[in-house]
Amino acid sequence: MNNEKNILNEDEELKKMAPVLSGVNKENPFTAPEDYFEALPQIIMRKCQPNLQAKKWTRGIFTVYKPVMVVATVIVAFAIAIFLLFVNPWRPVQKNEAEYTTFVQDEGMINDLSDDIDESTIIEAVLSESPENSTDSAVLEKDDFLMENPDYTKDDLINYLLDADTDMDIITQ
Amino acid sequence: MAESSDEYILSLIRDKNSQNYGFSLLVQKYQEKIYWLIRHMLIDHDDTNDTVQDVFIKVWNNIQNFREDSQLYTWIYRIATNEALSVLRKKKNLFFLPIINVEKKLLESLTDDNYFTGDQIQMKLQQAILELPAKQRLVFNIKYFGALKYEDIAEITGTSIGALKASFHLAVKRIEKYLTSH
Repeated sequence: MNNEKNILNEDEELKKMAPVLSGVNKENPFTAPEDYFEALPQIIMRKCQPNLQAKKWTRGIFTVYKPVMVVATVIVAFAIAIFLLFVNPWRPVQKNEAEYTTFVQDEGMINDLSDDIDESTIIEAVLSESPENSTDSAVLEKDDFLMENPDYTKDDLINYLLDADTDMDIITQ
Repeated sequence: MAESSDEYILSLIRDKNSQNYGFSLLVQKYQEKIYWLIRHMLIDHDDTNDTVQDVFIKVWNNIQNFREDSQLYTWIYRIATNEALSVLRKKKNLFFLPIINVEKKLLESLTDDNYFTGDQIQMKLQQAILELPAKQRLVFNIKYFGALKYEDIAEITGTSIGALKASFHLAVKRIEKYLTSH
């Protein structure tokens, strides 16, 4: 009732405000193609069905697996990070230049000696070398070595040679 | 056939076994209202047809999230008005040259339209409406042709009732001026 009154009031108001407009036929001047509204629901339903299937598929994949996938990804990423930081066998060893040079020289020398000369020959060479024949200051006569390194005694040297299974004749020599 | 109530339609849609049937009832109930609302805005039938289909696809995709904070028909009308305004905006961006504006294109569609059966004064009224800015045109069409209450239009457009009344009043004045001067 109130609604009808309102509409009448609005119509009256419109007549006063816009007499030409209120005189225009309010009937819808547009038309739609024949049977358009009979066919439209089917067209819309057809368009909605693939949408529904697509939605179901995405819901199936992402709703069910998404949390699992996220957790799995985090765990894998964490494991890879730990491996790269602490275990990685391919990680290059950081050495400074001096260390590296010494390392290469020592390794090279030991490899060369072990390939070509046996241990007894090396010891023999060291013990038999006299100070006047020595040209290399780095090679010390055994007493000089013991004098410069008072922590080591002759007994220490003999013990070392015995530990290294050195021939007794060579040791007494 | 008697129109089903919105509550009945929603209850059918919410049941997986009957959702297709429920949605087809919804389309049957609202298709004409939505079509004419959009047709008055876009003028061309083909544009309207595409937009109406898009509106109902959006309704279908979002109906499960509809919380009944508003009435079903105002919710559908809101989707429809947003879609119609969005199509007009897209057209505006397409015809970026000032000499080819959207209103001019719509006017051409109106005069070429095989599905316009109105008389001369009705044609003039449509031309006058096309002179209005898009939002004002929307308010005028919903109020004048859709005969909706300001309360409902406020819910659909998200505008206050006072602003809607002012907008409609202004639109009527401009249309009256156009009709008397042409």
